[in-house]
Amino acid sequence: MSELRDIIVVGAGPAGLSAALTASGLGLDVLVLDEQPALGGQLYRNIEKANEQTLKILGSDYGRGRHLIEKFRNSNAEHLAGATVWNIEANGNVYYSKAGQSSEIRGKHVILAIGAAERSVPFPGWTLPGVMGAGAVDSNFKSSGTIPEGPVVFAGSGPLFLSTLGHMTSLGVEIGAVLDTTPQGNLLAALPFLPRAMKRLDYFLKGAGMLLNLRRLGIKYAKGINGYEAHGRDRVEKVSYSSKNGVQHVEAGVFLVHEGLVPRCDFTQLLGLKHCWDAAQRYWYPQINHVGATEIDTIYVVGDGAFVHGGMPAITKGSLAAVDIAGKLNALPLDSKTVTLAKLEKKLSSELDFRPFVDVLFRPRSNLFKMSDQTLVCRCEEVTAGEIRRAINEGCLDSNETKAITRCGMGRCQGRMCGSALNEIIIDELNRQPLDTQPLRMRPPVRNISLAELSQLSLFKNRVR
Amino acid sequence: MFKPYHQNFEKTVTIEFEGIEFRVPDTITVAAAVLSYAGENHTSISPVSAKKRAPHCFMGICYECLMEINGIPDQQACIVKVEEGMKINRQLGFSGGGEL
Repeated sequence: MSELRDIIVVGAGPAGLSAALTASGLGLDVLVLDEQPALGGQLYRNIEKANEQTLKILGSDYGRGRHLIEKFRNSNAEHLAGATVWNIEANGNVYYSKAGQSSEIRGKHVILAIGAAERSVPFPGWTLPGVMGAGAVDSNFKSSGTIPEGPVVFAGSGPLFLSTLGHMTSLGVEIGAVLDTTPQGNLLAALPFLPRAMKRLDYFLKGAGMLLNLRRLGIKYAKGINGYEAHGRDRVEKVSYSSKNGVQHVEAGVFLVHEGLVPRCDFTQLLGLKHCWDAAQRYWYPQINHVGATEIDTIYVVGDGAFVHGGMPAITKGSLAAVDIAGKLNALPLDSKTVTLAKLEKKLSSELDFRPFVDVLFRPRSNLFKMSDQTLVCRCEEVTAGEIRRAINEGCLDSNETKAITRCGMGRCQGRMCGSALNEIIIDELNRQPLDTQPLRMRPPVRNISLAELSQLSLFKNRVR
Repeated sequence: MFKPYHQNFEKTVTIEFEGIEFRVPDTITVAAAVLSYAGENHTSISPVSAKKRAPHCFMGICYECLMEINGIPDQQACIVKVEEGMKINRQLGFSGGGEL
């Protein structure tokens, strides 16, 4: 494989595939690295192997990925599956692991299309087997055709929460209860954004249809839930939940939680890029311009990894970055670049009509990270919220100091599961503004590789630093 | 914890989990195979508290699905696809030979 490519795309979801096929269509040499075994990211996971039954149940939001992937397959872009990127440098050097072997490669430009992840929110019992992300189980169905065995209890809020719930009811999953954590005041706050959102009447009808279906099936649906716990010995057996009516219990074989999606910032933070804070959705996102360019000339960020907008906007954001880079690499004359970008930006703007409304409607509840002292925050090193608070009260001033003292964030997931919660505890305990805090610092290797693999890393013959 | 929704897969492979053979569709991940076809509820034991653990995120982030695959520990079972003859074991505590 050539050592220097025009563009290296990290991630083969909607944004990454779109960026790759657009750039390759303009004559650029593109390599896509993706850690999943099949193309499609989470939204279009395993779509090339999906059968008619699966396509019917998951509907057009999933099915339209077939067209994108077909176009990608017909392009000249190259794809490496099972390739886990573990370091990216500002000069475009990318290091990845595939089948136990690591290699270095370089892109004139790197497009980060890492996507979003379900927000990780610690609560008592969240480490019990059977407690999973709702979106996680949806993705797992796409690639394995398996469904959770009931009674399945759902808790959370957000568009993906509702769509997963819809899929699971269509699949005949036995649902024990749905615990909606959406704060009830959100609707009022979202009303100013309603007129623009009304352009997407289809989304409203879809949501309403889903809720009506729950009622028709006689599924227990509780609103205004402000907390929950999982109980059990070797796996989840019971869920308790609280609302203004007090604490109630429900039996559970599987407990699926979803408190929204957040951009995955591992690599943008590793690269030291500037991050902004979204107060409505309570998450960090990298600062980019209208085409996904960052303050580092080589690095672009597209898709939900830049800001959670969903699948269709991700496709457009991917194309925007590809066209901009094609202009920089003289693969596209300036006037046609300007025209194409303007067209894409107009498209993106209409695709985002629904978003401001949704972002406020599903604003997370204010007690999301108000964990009890006994709650395990760090799943890997098993550090409790109480231990973290004690370290802060003894003088730790940020996430990194607290990590050094408590080991919170020092385990195998490298802080991906506990990082947000750790920072939220600091915000609370020290009465800080989010922008005045320093989240966990990412360091290479950003994914776990063995020392043996690292020592045998194949480097460029003519390295440029 | 999981069950197959449909059985119309083109190809199957035979895998071995903790010494027992299972036939599973060739397109699925190790984690999915263990939690459905092998009928298991946990895939590892926490190195800190020795409590049972199972996959949580199914997309390669949480590292709760680490298992021993073909003798190599610390493999992410949720992003590795099954292969014919694959030998899979639970990861019990530390992978580096440490004891609980």
